[in-house]
Amino acid sequence: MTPSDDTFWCTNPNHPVALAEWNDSQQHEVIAYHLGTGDTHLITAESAIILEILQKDNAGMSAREITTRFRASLNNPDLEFDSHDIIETFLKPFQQLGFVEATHS
Amino acid sequence: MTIRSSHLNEISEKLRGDGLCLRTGPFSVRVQSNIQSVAECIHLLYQHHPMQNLEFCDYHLAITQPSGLRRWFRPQINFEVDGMIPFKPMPLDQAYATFEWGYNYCISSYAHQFLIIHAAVVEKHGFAMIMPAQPGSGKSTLTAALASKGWRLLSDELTLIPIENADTVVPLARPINLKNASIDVMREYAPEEVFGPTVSDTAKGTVTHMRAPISSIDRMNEPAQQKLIVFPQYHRNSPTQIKPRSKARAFMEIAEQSFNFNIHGKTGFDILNATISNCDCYDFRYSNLDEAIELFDQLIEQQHYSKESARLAESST
Repeated sequence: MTPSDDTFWCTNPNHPVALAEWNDSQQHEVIAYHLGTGDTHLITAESAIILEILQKDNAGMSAREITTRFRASLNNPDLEFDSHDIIETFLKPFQQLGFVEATHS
Repeated sequence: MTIRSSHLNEISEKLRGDGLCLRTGPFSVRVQSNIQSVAECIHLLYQHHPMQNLEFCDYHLAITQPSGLRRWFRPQINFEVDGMIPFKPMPLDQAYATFEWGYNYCISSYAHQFLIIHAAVVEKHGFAMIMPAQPGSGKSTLTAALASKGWRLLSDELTLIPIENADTVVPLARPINLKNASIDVMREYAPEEVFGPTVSDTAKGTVTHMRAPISSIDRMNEPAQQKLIVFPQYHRNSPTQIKPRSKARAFMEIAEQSFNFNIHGKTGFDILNATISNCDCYDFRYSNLDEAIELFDQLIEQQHYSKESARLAESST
């Protein structure tokens, strides 16, 4: 078992994040609005996918499961993103912004 | 009854007494003032605006010269909103400019039935073009130039998006505040327009106001459909350039430029989301006003043509 396997990630149901996106540019950035803080953030399309994965199933998910679903969302099973990358690139920054919470089993 | 129907002396007398109530778009403002320059500027720059009954006014403003030493030594004025004084006293020669700034302050602080963006907005063919920009970007100059060439002026400073009708923009049709170099630019570009007195050494530099076109005032109760968002930037000797801006980046900048986005919470987010979705977004650089206007005329004609084509196609099926 890797250290990330006993950590479960979920969005904060009391402070959801609303997303707005438009397919109007190559950059494909997304607006994330945190209802708890009222802060608005410009995030990457990949970040938005991670948030949507967590918002769809908010029971709590391991980084491994998130990574699997992330690859499926991008329709790219060979994507060189492992659980550690998902944690460092997305989940930890999200945690700092108050978008997600981590619980330990 | 418009301001024009009263002689300057009557306006002055009203201001010194119970005040007069001006209608500008969705707001009515009651003004009292014992300062002659305020009466003269209101008489000149609000000439075509309607006056209304004093009983129903949204804001009660007073711009007054206090009694005492300050009446004679470096004379100053106080600005009051509903009996409160939100700002430090200002020099006497800035009395009218203070009325305009103070009125902006009232709307941006209290009119939360709107999402309010710090942006100019003009209209043609029913389509609103919203121009958010930082100070010094040439926004007001561009707005004044467009207004002088047949575009309808909704506002040079405050874009009002009604919460209950979020795909429109509501007009204010007030005088356009011009600053520094733009004053001479506009006096030369549109000498037929009416300008108020020029005041130097304000917090914003040298300022004056250009009267709103009468055609804009006549239609100040008529909202416009959101269609274009243009971020203008004046650069000396720059060729006229326009390029699409990503909607997400437009959202971020407008949210930052909004006076009350945070106050509205999720509703503000939803309204701005709808506005951005309704509009094509562009970055725009210019130095030549004629070229700028020609380009915007073409842009809006395209939108108008598309709408007409769609309408005709629909009516023929």
